Amino acid sequence: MKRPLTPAQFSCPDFFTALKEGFPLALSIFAYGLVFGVLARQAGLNWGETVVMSAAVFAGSAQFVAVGLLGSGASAGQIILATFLLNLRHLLMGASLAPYLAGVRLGKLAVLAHGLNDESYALTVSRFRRFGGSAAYFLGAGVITFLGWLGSSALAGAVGNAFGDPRRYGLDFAFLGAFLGLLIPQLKNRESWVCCGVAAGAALFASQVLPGKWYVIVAALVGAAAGVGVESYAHRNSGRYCRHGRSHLSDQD
Amino acid sequence: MAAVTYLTRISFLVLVGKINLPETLSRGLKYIPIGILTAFVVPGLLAPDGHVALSWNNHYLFAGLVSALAAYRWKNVFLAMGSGMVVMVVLRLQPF
Repeated sequence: MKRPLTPAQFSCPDFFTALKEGFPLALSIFAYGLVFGVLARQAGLNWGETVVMSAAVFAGSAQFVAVGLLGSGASAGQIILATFLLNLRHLLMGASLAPYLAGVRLGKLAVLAHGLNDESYALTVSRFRRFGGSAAYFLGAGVITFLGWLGSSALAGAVGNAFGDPRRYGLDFAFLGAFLGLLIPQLKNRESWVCCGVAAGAALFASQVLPGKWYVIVAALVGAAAGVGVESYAHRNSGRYCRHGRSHLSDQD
Repeated sequence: MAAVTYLTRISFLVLVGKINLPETLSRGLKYIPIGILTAFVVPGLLAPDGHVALSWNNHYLFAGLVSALAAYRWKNVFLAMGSGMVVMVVLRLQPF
């Protein structure tokens, strides 16, 4: 597909594509926001605090942990530290999106950054790898996930969870299914399969021995190292091309 | 909480765009998405309750298999998600 616009130019179609593609994920986020709203109220937050937290923090797992810690009487410092550690994976997500958003001004990036979460990242990065960067798509993915999370936190914070356990509708699988749907089509060559396989082993092992979400960071780093390793090995005899850097290695394969 | 979360979101998003990374690192960045997506999925399927469960009773495993096949066949996120959710609901209704 030819892209006439630069990543920084606002493309309305990209924005609406993101809203459309993000909608199923936003629905599952909505279901989990309902659970969060109820838990937050049980932990002693009032409705306003619940809504402000969901709007300002906008990080599902960190918020679940935070209200759990609040309920058990943890200090503010402990909660902030836990939040920071849980969200360190955003560093890697940001780093991997940054090359696609070259030329986007700092002010816009500052807005886009707030929309970075696991789901919007998964959508955005698989879009960028196929069609190149687009700030508008990233914005759309952030907006639709934000609305899902904020809307449901606000609703459940006010009326309680009206729909019962999301597990009843298979919604606990929704994220896994969507992430699989975004991951599998990206496995197109030997390097990506090796990266995925190594990351899978690393993630499973790290999830058993490390606390919190460290397994995401470990798996991403180990998997990337494996991908680069295989790539370097495959191109070990292409020394005459290497003089020109990585220009012969496609960024979007 | 909001501030530290935002800090993790913005810092590398901006910094990595501003500095020139060594070649190996920028090649590595290309594989980060696959690593992260894999990490989102694998423990959730193989260890849904925190410990590794390779058993017939692990519904996530079967739902994941169906989702993966659907994703491979149709390359469609909605079908991958929906097919796995249907498997989950059915398996829960009728525990084999």
